[in-house]
Amino acid sequence: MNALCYSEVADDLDRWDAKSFFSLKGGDFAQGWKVPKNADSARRLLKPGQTYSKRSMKLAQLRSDAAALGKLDFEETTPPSALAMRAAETFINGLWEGCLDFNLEVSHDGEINFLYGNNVELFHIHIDENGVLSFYCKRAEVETFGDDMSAGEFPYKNLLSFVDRQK
Amino acid sequence: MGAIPRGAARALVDDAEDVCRLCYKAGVPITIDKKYPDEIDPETNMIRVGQISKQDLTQRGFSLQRTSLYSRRRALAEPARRERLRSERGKVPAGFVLKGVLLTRVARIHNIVDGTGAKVFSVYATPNDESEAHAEILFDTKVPNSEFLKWRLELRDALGTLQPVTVLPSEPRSLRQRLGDFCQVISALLCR
Repeated sequence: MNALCYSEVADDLDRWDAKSFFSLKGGDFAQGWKVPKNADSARRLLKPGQTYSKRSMKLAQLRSDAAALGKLDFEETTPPSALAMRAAETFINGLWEGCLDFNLEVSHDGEINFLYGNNVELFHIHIDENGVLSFYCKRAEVETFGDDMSAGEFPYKNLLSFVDRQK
Repeated sequence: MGAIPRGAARALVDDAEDVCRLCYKAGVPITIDKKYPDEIDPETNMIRVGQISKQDLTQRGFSLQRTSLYSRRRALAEPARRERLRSERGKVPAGFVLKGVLLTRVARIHNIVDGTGAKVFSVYATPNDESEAHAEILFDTKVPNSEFLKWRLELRDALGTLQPVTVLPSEPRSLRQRLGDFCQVISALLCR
């Protein structure tokens, strides 16, 4: 470990389990860091390792589903276009930590759907073959619509507030 | 709103008719979590909303079969026919299994209306070489994508839950039966 990195860790020792840190061996690091129970709430946020792996898992699922559509070559199936895939990956990477629990459905036509909520309250995001996002949200009988936007223009805060309300 | 027919020969299917959608499951695990391609959501037992694609509804048509012209026997033979087509094209077998059917009355689909009372989906009779019972649901292409997301939920609900293939008639009704029904309708109308 270089000196700069060591000094940063040393300044922030209460965030790390110093004992195990100094006796770091083999695969211990892969188990993630430990946050002391008495740490303040800001430091007890979701562990970066968990968030990262969840996001990676969703990205891997998207790629796997998309590749499967192209590989198996079912009748009348089209894998998502490069534009749609790029938009979907940008969307997943732009999601707030709390918004990574969604159902991903890639249609046989290559349209990509991100589904949140249930039958009563829902937030559905759709990416078409041109990589254009649309969404439909129904919450407490109030409907919200959004059309023709890029992944960068999507209102992530609205989605976060929907997800928070669902909890 | 109303769907745009793609050709002059298309005729709307009558509200009183029943239509069904055959739902398949492939027998090949393909995705990262070893899920099988499956049109049906196991939680709701309804078609996955992702399977109701906008391209289907606006360009190709969302395929159905008119049950009065269709039969259980033909439905059960369909997976084998698909596999045969695959092998003819040199593709690996997909292990298609017919999971069941979504059966509904056309009126339920035609009764989905927008705020102005206009019909959102239309069911057209589109017989083809494989099936004289073939029909399609179409949707107005000018509707924004976000509204499509709303209406497809309504369509999913109208299609209902998955049912066993045994709900289909064992044989299609004969021409004589259909003519008999037609005469009954005409005579009832004349009596009014």
